[in-house]
Amino acid sequence: MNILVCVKPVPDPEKYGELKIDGETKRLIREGIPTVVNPSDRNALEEALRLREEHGGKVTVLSMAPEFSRDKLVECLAMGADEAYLVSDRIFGGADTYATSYVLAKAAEKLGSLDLILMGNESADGATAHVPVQLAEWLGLPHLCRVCSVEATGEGFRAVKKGDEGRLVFGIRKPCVLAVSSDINKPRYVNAMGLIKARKKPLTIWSNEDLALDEEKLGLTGSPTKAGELISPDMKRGSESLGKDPEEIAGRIAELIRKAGV
Amino acid sequence: MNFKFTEEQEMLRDAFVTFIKEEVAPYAAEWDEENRTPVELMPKLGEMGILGVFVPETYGGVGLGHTERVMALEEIARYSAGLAMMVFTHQLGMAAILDFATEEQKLKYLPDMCAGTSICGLAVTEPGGGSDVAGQKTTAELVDGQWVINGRKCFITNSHCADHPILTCKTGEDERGRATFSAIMIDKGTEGFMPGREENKLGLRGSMTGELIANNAKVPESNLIGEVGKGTPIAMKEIGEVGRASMAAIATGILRACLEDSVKFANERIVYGKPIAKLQAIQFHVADIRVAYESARLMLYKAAATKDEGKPATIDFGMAKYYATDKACECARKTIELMGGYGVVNEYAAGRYLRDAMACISSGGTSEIQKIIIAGDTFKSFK
Amino acid sequence: MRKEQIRKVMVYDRARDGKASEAFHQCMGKMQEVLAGCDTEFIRLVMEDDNPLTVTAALEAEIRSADPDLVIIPATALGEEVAPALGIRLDTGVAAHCCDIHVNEEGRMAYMVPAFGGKVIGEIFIPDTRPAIATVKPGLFSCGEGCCEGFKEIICEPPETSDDLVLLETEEYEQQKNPIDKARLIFCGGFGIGSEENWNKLEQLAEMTGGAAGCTRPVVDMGWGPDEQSMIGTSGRTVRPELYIGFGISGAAHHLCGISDSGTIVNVNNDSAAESFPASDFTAEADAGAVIDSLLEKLG
Repeated sequence: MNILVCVKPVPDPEKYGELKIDGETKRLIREGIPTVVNPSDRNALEEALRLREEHGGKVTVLSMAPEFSRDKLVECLAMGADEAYLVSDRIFGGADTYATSYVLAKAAEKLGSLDLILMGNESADGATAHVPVQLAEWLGLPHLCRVCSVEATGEGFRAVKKGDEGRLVFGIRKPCVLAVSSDINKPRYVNAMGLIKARKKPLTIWSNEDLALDEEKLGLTGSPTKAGELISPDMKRGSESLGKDPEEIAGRIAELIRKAGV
Repeated sequence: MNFKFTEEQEMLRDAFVTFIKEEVAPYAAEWDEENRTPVELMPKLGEMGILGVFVPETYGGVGLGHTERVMALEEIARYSAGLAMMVFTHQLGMAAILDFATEEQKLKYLPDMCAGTSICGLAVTEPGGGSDVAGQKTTAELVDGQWVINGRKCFITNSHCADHPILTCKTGEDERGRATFSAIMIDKGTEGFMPGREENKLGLRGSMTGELIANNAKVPESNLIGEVGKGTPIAMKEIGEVGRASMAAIATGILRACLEDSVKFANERIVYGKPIAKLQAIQFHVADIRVAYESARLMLYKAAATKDEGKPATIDFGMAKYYATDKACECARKTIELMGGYGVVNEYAAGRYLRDAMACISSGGTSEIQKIIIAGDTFKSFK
Repeated sequence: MRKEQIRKVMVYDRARDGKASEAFHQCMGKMQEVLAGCDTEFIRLVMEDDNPLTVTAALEAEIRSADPDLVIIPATALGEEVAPALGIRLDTGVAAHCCDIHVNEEGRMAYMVPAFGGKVIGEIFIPDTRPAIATVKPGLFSCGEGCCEGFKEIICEPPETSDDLVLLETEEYEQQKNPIDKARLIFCGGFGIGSEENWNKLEQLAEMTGGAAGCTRPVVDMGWGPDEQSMIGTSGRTVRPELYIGFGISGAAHHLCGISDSGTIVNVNNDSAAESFPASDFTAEADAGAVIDSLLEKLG
């Protein structure tokens, strides 16, 4: 089985509480926040590795990111992927999900025949959940999101989606794109042996010279959505203390419940 | 001079830290309180490549070096110095096998030890001699192709969980009538061989320390590690380079724990209307802890780099161990005092840092022993 | 896109057995409010199906034929898949999970989209492409049945069947006794409640008072009882109770976003530095378990 996993390096979600917006430039201050592989993309990679363990084949990792994120792809190789591709070019910068999924689709086309493309359902930073679907549309492939279970079948896969009212079991033809939720599995740890093996695995960097894409469809220019201001929502409230004694506190909460007349 | 870790070393550290934060950090306080050694973590540590990180791939290891080994110990000790003790003691025995055993023995024992499915250890100390190596009384006599061992070891880490501990035993005398020792592996479960009392320690709980008793225990002649009569040099080399290195790494981990906890507390504790981090007295404490940590770290990794280059590093490790353990005690105390009343409440880890730091001093040679060795080298090299 | 340029707005409704969904009412009500005074045509687009490929194809056909300026789709599990697919098929921009849509000072339509777990909200414009598509998180806008009228209805034609994606079975979730997104009183447990026992006590409190019990993700992950139906946060449910009482909640941005429209917020946590405290009306620095026990006694 030939599987492609798309991963995105994102600022560490554990540190989002520390993010601030610069008062003057109105831009996000990201300094000091380490970059990690988007958490649900690691679930996607883990699922790909499990499918390879069961059915044989190859797992390739693809990312559109700045070149300094190269070590995130090494991490994916260390986790067990066979090959990695980093698509990096200044001209891709500022892309929204439309332009990003376009670049990923064109890169995926160069990778030969695939049976399955796996990705995390959404990225921790933007969280639009668009890219898996849009990637599938550019490639003309069926897609399914919020997938919590995947099984290979003759013509494709049996995938369970966590829908609004219940779990939906779908049969989906291959090749297809499946976006997985974080409870689908527990990703394995990167270990020392994996890092040693990763040294010898191919990591290729492509710029737009390798992809030869029309510049009008790239980056900020190619993005139908445009970003305006960034706002930090003000959630501050009174923070009046109810004291430290559990009995007293419970008493006052009981009073609030009565007053709310619920 | 290059004072940076390589990108691969940083990635290795990150990988280890991810594992440690998930599998070690949440349980460290519990292990200390219950005095429980998490032996079940050994296979997982093996899977991570932590146990055999310094062992060549031929024997089931990762093929990296002691820099990576002490890096892992530092990170483990930041959360659980006790667990780091079990890991390093296991590696101490492995190092003896790696450096002195036959090819057959290495292939027989090391792969499972790297995987964490079998646990090792090195037992030297006795009621009659620890620092005084010549004071050991455990004997091993070769009778009909078997070593017959009698004696008792004490203060031995991994006493109750080691599958293949290596004991130093008196096997003869030299031409001047002084005792000579050999390193002999005694498999767990050998008739006449058993762990004895288990100590209830002040610190480094989360590792077990106890007695090993041999009462006419018989093991095959092939259980000898290295040559007959070479037990002392074997023990000294491994304790000198692997043992002291590990204690330095553990104390460095404790120093970082003190630093991080002090900073966190100082930023959050509001007194007189602002965080205590704004008070100079607190700033001075934090600065001292910082300098101690950075110095301990530099000494540790310089020594490790020296050993990885194949050069002797005993003195370097001795200095690093003496300094780091001494400073860890000092800084743990500072952390407790900085935290005021909270520092003496067991919900906070600072008290455990102090207890763990104190317990480090007597392992691998006390500070006094280190100073004697360091002075000896100083008089030679600085004249 | 300027307000005056929006002549036709379509709002998608998955509906169930002919009945309009609340999410539809919320979206339609909001758009009618935003575009009040404009001569806009509003259309309810109905397609009762859970297969995203089917719904996408059906909506694509109606949109191409009706040529609207703006399409609003509730950001349900279904809508989340349909909207971006339409974005590619129609070569247009899609604003995801909007927490607000308004006309800005320059008269342009602005879509407010949360990012970084809700810590930051970004203003998004879709200036040049048509139709602009936006998905809206259910529960964010309030509008009951009957508060919005004046829209046409189009029931979409089912498209040609395709066997690329086939729905084989449905397994409904267990019905919540008191669905959390409608509850007026919520007892919410975070990682600090520490045990399954305490989760059960919160459910008891909910039952005693006619409220509902909610949680954060760590409680679900630890297996203390609740599933994702009870999870509150940007990736879970958005709630707006009159009274929210949190126990052992650290206050991650995405959770705080999910409760920001609550009437009164109370938080109990033994960590006075918890981020949930500055975002609360009332705070209590105490052990969650002890307060829960005491509360059970007082209300029992």
